[in-house]
Amino acid sequence: MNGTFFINGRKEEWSFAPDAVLLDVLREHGCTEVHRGCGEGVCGTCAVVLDGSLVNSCQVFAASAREKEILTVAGIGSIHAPHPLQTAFVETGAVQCGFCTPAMILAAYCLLKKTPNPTDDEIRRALDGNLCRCTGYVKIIEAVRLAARRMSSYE
Amino acid sequence: MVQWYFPETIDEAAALLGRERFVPHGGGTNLVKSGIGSFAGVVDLSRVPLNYLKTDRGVLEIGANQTFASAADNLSNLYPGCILAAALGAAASTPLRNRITMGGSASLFPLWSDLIGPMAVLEGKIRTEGQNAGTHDLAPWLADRSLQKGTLITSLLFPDPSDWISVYHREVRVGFDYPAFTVSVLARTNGSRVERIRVALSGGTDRVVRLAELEEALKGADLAKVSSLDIRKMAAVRFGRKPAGSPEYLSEIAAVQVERCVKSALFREEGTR
Ligand SMILES: Cc1cc2nc3c(=O)[nH]c(=O)nc-3n(C[C@H](O)[C@H](O)[C@H](O)COP(=O)(O)OP(=O)(O)OC[C@H]3O[C@@H](n4cnc5c(N)ncnc54)[C@H](O)[C@@H]3O)c2cc1C
Repeated sequence: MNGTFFINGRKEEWSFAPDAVLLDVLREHGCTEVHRGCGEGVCGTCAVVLDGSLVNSCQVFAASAREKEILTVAGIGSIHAPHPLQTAFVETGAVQCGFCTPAMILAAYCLLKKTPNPTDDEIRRALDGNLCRCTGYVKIIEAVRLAARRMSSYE
Repeated sequence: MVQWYFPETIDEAAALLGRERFVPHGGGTNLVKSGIGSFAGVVDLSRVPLNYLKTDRGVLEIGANQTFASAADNLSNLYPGCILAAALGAAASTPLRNRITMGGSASLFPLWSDLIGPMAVLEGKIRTEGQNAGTHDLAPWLADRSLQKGTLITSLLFPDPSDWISVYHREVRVGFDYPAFTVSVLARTNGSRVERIRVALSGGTDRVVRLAELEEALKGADLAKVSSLDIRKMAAVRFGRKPAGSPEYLSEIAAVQVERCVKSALFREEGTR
C-alpha cells in the first residue's frame, strides 16, 4: 500500500506492506536515526513524535501513521545548528554509546514543550520509556535540567 | 492480503466489523504484537469520533479512542486523585500510555491491565455498538468473550469517581514494568465508621476479583475494630506463575498489599499509594 508521511516537515510518498510498522518504514527510507531496539515497546529507542506525542515507532502500524506529522531527532537540530537539548547532552557527557540518545532527546523535547521547568520527578517520569544500558541516568537528567534552564532563560 | 478501512462514523465502523475476519484498530499496541496477517480487513477507528471524555449527570464517559495518557490528563483536572487517573497515569511508560487505548484495553483486559481493577471497584460499564450493542457490566463481559464478536466498544461509563477516598497499588519492580497484580480500594468513612468500601485485586487466576468477604466485614465497622480483622486471610487469592514470582509468593504479597491499601484508605496513611 502507499501513503503520504510528513517527516521533519518534508512530504514523502512511500509504499509499504499493510502490516509494516512505522519503525521499519522509516529506516527503510533512510531515517536511520530512529534506532531499532527490542521491537516490543520496552526499550524506547525507536521513539518518534507522532502528531505531537512521543510513541514507540515499533508499536505503530505505518498504515495508521499516514498523513501524520512525524518528528525524528534529525528534525529538531543538526550538527551545525544543534537544539539546546543536543548541546546539553554533549556538554554533560550524557552521550556514551549513543544508541538511546535520539529517543532520550525526543522524550525530553516533548517534556519541555509541555513543562518548560520540570522537576526531577517530572524528568524521570518523562524518560520512563527510554532504557539506557551504559551511562546510567544521572547525566541524562542533568542534561535535561541544563537544557530547560537555558531554554527558559533564552525565551 | 489484509485491507485497511478508515470509516468516519460509528455506524460505518460497526457495519464493517460485522464482516468475517475484520478487526478494529483503535491505535493501540497489542494488535501490532499479535499481528494482522490472518485478517481480511483492519478497521482503523482513528476517524470515528470516539476520542472524548465527558461527564453528564454524575456519569463519567470515556470514549474508546482516548489513550491512557489523555484520559489520565483529563481526569486529573476533573477529578484530582481519583483512582482512574492514578491507575491510567501509572500504566506502562510515557510513549506506551500515548498509544494504549481505553477501548483496546477493555477488549483485551490483559492480566497486567491497569484499567481492570478501577473498573471493578467503580462498577464501570462497557458501551458497545454493532452485533452486541448495549451496556455491559464487567463480570458478564469477562465471562462471555463471544459478546465481543463483531462488536465495537464505543465508550466506558463510570459513576462519579470523585466521591471516594481511593488507593491504587501496582506491584512492579520498576515503574514501567507490567504489574504482577494491582490493588484498588475505594472507601468512605463517616466519623469513626467505615461507611462504604470496595476492594479489588487483579492479576490472579481469576483476572480480577472483588474481595466480597472483606468488603462485608468492613462495611459499617468501627475503625477501631479494623486492626483486629484478619484482612490478609480474606484477601487470599490464587495466582499463576509469573516472571515476578511463584504463585505462593504472589498470593502472599498480594494479601499484604491489600491490607496496606485498605489501612491506607481508612486511616489515610501515605506510603502505599
Ligand atoms: C511493553 C508494554 C507494556 C505494557 N504495560 C502495560 C501496563 O503496565 N498496564 C496496562 O494496562 N497495559 C499495558 N500495556 C498495554 C496492554 O498490553 C495492551 O496492549 C492494551 O491493554 C490493549 O489496548 P490497546 O489499545 O493497545 O489495544 P489494541 O492493540 O488496539 O487492541 C486490542 C484488541 O482490542 C480490539 N479493539 C481495539 N479497539 C477496539 C474497540 N473500540 N472496540 C472493540 N475492539 C477494539 C482490537 O481489535 C484487539 O483485538 C503494555 C503494552 C506493552 C507493549
